[in-house]
Amino acid sequence: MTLAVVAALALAQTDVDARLSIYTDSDRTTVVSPFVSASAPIPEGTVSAGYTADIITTASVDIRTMASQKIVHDTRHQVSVGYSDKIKDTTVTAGYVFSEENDYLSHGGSLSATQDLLEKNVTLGLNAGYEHNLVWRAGDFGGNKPFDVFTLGAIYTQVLGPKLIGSVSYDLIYGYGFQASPYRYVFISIPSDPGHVAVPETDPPLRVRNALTGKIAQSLSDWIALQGDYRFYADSWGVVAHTVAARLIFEPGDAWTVRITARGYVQQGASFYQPVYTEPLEFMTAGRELCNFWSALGGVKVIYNYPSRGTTRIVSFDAKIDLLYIDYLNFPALPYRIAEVYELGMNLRF
Amino acid sequence: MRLIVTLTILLGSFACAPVHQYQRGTLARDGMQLEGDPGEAQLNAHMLQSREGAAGGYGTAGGGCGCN
Repeated sequence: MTLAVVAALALAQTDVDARLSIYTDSDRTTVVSPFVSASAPIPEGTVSAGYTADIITTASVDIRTMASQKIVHDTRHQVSVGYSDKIKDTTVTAGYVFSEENDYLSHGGSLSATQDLLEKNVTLGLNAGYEHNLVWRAGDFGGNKPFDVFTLGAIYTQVLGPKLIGSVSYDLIYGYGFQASPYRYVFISIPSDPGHVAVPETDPPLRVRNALTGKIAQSLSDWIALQGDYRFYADSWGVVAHTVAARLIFEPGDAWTVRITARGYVQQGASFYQPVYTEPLEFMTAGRELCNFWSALGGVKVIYNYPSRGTTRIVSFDAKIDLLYIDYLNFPALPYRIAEVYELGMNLRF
Repeated sequence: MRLIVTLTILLGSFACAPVHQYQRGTLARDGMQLEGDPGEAQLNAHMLQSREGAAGGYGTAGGGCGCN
């Protein structure tokens, strides 16, 4: 589906996007992510391909509380290909994504279609995807467990005025299989028995997720635009989340663009999550992403559009820094996390 | 499919007067693009989805965890 988006955006031109993202946080985790994607027109449509990786070095709370190693190194590779074609006002896109790491293997396919209506004042999009994953403990591929994901999505985009556009989208994600971490253990503290017992975490095999998102962009002047998003999320594990984001974009000339981002997220955790388990239960998790927490993100991105040279119509360079603060409300092992994300990018369009 | 198209036309006609092609100069600016840069969006979605309980609504970020 990721490739579907990339391919759909470049139906009539060759586009190369290269970037490097570095994530580092106070939970002793660093992730370096190189990314490259390219798309090019062919006689019948547009083809695209991409590669990204996550090069991870971590001694996070999961590892400190359980694993024998003090620092873990891992690399995730992801390759994707896509094909798009536009027939009159309808764009059809197909994509395939493969990713693997030393304890995870994933194949995913997607199909999407967008249709322009009402003199292109409305765009309707539908997408469907399927992903087959295998999860295992590193070095124990024979003990792999499957995890399948089906996705369905719809998006409605409407031009609301010469300076105003908005969209509403809905995603349904059906996941079935092994969804826990193969490494995480839950500690059970039985009051009548000194000490505690550690058992592998057990998440419910079925998770049905729903996400409803609204976006709007309003031009405030010839060179300032304001964007806002709201997402409501709820799933069958009891997780309920609200996300609000705003971006102020300054375009003082053809060369420079500056974007300021603010994002807030608040989450009610999974119904089976407990900070402390006092008895064995059918489902138990030690995942901090399933507890109650809130987070705030702020960031700045600067884009420079280099003047055209030869056949290269557009070359742009961008740099971004985001700061993320996460406040875990009922996760005793980690009260908060502060993260920094640095990103450098270059985009060429022929 | 017919139902979807009919509902879309109804929603669209209730919303606002159509904006013609020659009125869309502002809407074509980078700052008015709702989806933004797809490469940046993919990296950002993957980073957030492996650290939050919620997923979806901002495009899919590919398989695997890469989170630890």
